[in-house]
Amino acid sequence: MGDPVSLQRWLHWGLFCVLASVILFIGLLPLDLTTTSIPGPNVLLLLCLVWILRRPDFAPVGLIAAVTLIADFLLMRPPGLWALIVVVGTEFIRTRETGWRDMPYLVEWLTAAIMITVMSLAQIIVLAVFVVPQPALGATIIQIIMTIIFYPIASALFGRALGIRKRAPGEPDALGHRQ
Amino acid sequence: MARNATNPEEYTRPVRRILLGCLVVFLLAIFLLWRIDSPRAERLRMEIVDTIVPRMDWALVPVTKATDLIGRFQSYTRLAEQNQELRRELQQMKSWREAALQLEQENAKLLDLNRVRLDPSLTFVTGVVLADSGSPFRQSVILNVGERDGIIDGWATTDGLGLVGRISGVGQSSSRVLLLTDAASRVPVTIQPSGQRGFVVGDNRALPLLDFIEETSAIRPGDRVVSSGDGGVFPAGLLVGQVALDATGRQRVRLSADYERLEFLRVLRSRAPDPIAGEGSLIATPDPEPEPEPVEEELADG
Repeated sequence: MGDPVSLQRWLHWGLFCVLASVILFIGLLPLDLTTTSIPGPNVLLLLCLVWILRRPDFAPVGLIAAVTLIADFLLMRPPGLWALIVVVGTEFIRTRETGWRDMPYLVEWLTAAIMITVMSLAQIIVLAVFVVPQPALGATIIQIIMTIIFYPIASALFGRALGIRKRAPGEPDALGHRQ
Repeated sequence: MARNATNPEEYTRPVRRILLGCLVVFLLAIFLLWRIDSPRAERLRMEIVDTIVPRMDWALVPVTKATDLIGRFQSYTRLAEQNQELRRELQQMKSWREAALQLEQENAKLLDLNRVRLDPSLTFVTGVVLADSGSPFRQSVILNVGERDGIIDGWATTDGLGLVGRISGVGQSSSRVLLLTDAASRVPVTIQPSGQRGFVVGDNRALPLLDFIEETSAIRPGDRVVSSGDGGVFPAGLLVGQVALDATGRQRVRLSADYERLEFLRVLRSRAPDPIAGEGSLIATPDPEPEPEPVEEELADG
């Protein structure tokens, strides 16, 4: 029973990498070079949150850190800072994961919304402390709201469609939610 | 089964915590390094971009083209109508071309009479846009030409119609173009009929701001904005756009370059600018062989 579980885990780690590269790839496509007043959601963050809220064992911290750090470098963000914030945020969720296993969907969404807001605010504050020029506050707030609004779509896309459900590892999901 | 799976985790928890601590310190160190020694960190960033983005080249270009094609498919449905329109425009263009030719001849004569020495011919390298910045807060594109094509940091980039931006970050086979609309972009310009000097300052909007102008009243919407060549960063006289007023009455620049369709960009090979003493090695390139003596002697002889 140990082997299929670890195989499944490896498969999901690979899937996480593939999803992250696809998100980065689509983001990098030079489709619309005009500036838009409404920035889109942070899809990579949504992917991390959906997986960490549902199956933390499929989204190991090393993978999240690596993917976010590469995104930092590619997307011209201050390297390391956002990766650090995402790692700390997802670890915070991970440590409380057992209590949240059977939470209703609204609570999951609310948790994600709070995490998105706190993480973005942390980034704004750190950048301000280090006197790094940053985008207009209004645009950042719009992005936070967009990211929160897009969470249900992301959870359907990255979660339900791929069979990522809240479940203890190696446990049939019909037999109670406790480990 | 579940118990078996959790047991090793009990053992590895302290180790995991230490590794997590190391990871956090590592990420923090990267951020601090970037904050303290930005040019070096940016070079590292460009190297990472240079290893990743050209590898996606085979997929980036076809997917972009295919998506564009779908987007433009609607316009194909009214081909006949468009054809008519184009014919009419071509007719107008022909008359304009006649006028331009006459003006060019006249201009050449006048320049000859004035004995004006123009900038030695601006040659260019053409690159294909591989990727954009991928972030809504950054305005830049990545070209498929880099150090091996002789691209140097700071060179101006146009799309044939107008100035697009400047090279900021060169990798072995790719380079990043900072667009004029990026919040970090500042370009010295001259506003044409009045000769006022100022800066085009990007602020993440479609129309960048016009700033640091002595007499704003001397400028009217529709005036031509060209690069001034101040500071030796850009060659002078490149068309940037036209002055426009926004809703709050601030002066902005409507860019001539077609930002909606940046596919091929020309990187202008500027002459290596005079070396700047002291700091400034980021943009200024070391002059390989400065030989101003012969010119001076000739002048002295004459």
